[in-house]
Amino acid sequence: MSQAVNRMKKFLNDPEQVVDEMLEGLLLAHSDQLKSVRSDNRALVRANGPSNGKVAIATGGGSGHLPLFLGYVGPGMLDGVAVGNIFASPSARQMLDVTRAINGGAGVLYIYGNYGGDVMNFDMAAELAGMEDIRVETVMATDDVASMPKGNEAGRRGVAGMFYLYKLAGAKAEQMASLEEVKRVAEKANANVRTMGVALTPCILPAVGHPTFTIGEGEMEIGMGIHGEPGIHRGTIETADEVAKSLVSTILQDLPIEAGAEVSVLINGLGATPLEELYIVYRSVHKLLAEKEIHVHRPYIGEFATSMEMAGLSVSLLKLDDELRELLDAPYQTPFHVQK
Amino acid sequence: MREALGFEDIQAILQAVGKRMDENKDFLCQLDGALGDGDIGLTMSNGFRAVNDQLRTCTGDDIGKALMSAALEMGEAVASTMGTLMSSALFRAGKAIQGKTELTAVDVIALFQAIAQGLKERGKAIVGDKTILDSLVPAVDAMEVAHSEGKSMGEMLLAASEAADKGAKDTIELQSRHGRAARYLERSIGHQDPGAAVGALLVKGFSDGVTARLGCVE
Repeated sequence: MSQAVNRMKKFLNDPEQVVDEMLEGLLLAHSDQLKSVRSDNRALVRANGPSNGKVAIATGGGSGHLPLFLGYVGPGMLDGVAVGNIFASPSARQMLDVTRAINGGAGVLYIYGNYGGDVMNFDMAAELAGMEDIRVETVMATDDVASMPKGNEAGRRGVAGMFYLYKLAGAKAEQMASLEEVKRVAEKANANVRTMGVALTPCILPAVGHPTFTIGEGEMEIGMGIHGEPGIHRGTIETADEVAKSLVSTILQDLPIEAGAEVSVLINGLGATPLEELYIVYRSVHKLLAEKEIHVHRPYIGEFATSMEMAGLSVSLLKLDDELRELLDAPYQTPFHVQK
Repeated sequence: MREALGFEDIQAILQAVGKRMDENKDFLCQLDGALGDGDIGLTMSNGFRAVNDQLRTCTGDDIGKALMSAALEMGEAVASTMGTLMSSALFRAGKAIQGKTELTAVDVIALFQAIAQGLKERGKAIVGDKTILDSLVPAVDAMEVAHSEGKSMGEMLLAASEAADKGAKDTIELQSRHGRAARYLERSIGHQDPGAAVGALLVKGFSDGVTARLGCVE
């Protein structure tokens, strides 16, 4: 039985071509929204960009997390993305090519998750862009509470909560705000968002062909990262209500939210968990917050940052104020989501 | 005798580094096979080929800027962890000497300090963890001593090369405490660290180049 579970069962042609063929399909489907600025398709930008005088926002990271990262390019969101191999950083040159292609003269903001290879490469790209007189600022998402204890917030990884950094900074940039202002909003979003995840099954890297880690039958791992990084607690699988309570209370210990406050909630599926279960967990989260008199504004439920076929989900809470609510409500359009 | 390196000297020196990496490709892969995934020889050989291809086409005379752009090409050519680390470290080195059209002994020390510092920060390892730092840090120390004793650039690099070589060989006795190799625990003892071997070859190749261009004795 466990043998059958572990065998790779994927729709592939060649495990080595996964990213290239995915990109080819994506560009065929969404050529009205995205265009490639490199022959290897590893640098994608808005089809109608760059926008003169608008701050441009770039992101990047490894593949295997759709709609993260490339799925957030579009009006109201990001301007470009550098695309790496499965779970591997794109190169600095790919990031530089994105930067050049999206620069509209008002500077470029890099927003990405705090992962070693990405940091090295984005830093190099930023330096080189600077030498070409393109102003670059950086904000790293560090929303994953489980990845580092309180006090070490800056060392945390970026996961599904990164969506809010993209959304809010993207909306601010669309208002033709300055690079400093867009950066401030991205930092403010990061300071006010926290995510906790839970995984039920591992994912399989196509080139490897079997899971590189296991989660026992009947077990779950609280806090596991989107590449299978170890979490903070492994135990017997619990009910949706219990899981929701555990995730929400860990978040609220880290980011206290007072009664009467307003939050946006993001329930993110990790790839193999059905929407039905996400809504069951949303129900629990909503009620837990209601008990604490925390109001939910504009919940997001669906797939925002996945880990291929990993089963599991994450809960992100974004603490809102008037400025962030207004930016959150602004429209956006990407190949994966539309908000009117 | 000249005691500074110009743009063409640096081009020749990086070619000498590339030659060392090519000649030791199989040796490095063999070391890496025992502790890693066995591709570090290819990574370094291909990576420095990309560096040299880029340097060959550079037209300006800013050595730092040329090194930064060459480091970027290495990152593009070799996307592995060691490739990105080395690319990032060379980029730091270029930045440390940005704007310079000539490198004195002090600049060369600054260049290697920047490489070691870059690897330390990015890789989050320390000396004794059985990494590339175990050959590069002793090499930088040896450069500083030789320079303070008034040695020539050639002698300084020879001393650094000997120190790096000794540091690399000394990793045989160490237990890996960093990265993937750390999973081997005490079984890593008895194997030379492939990263430390890369560091030694980098210094050795640099020394080869300096000797060829400037000579070694006063």
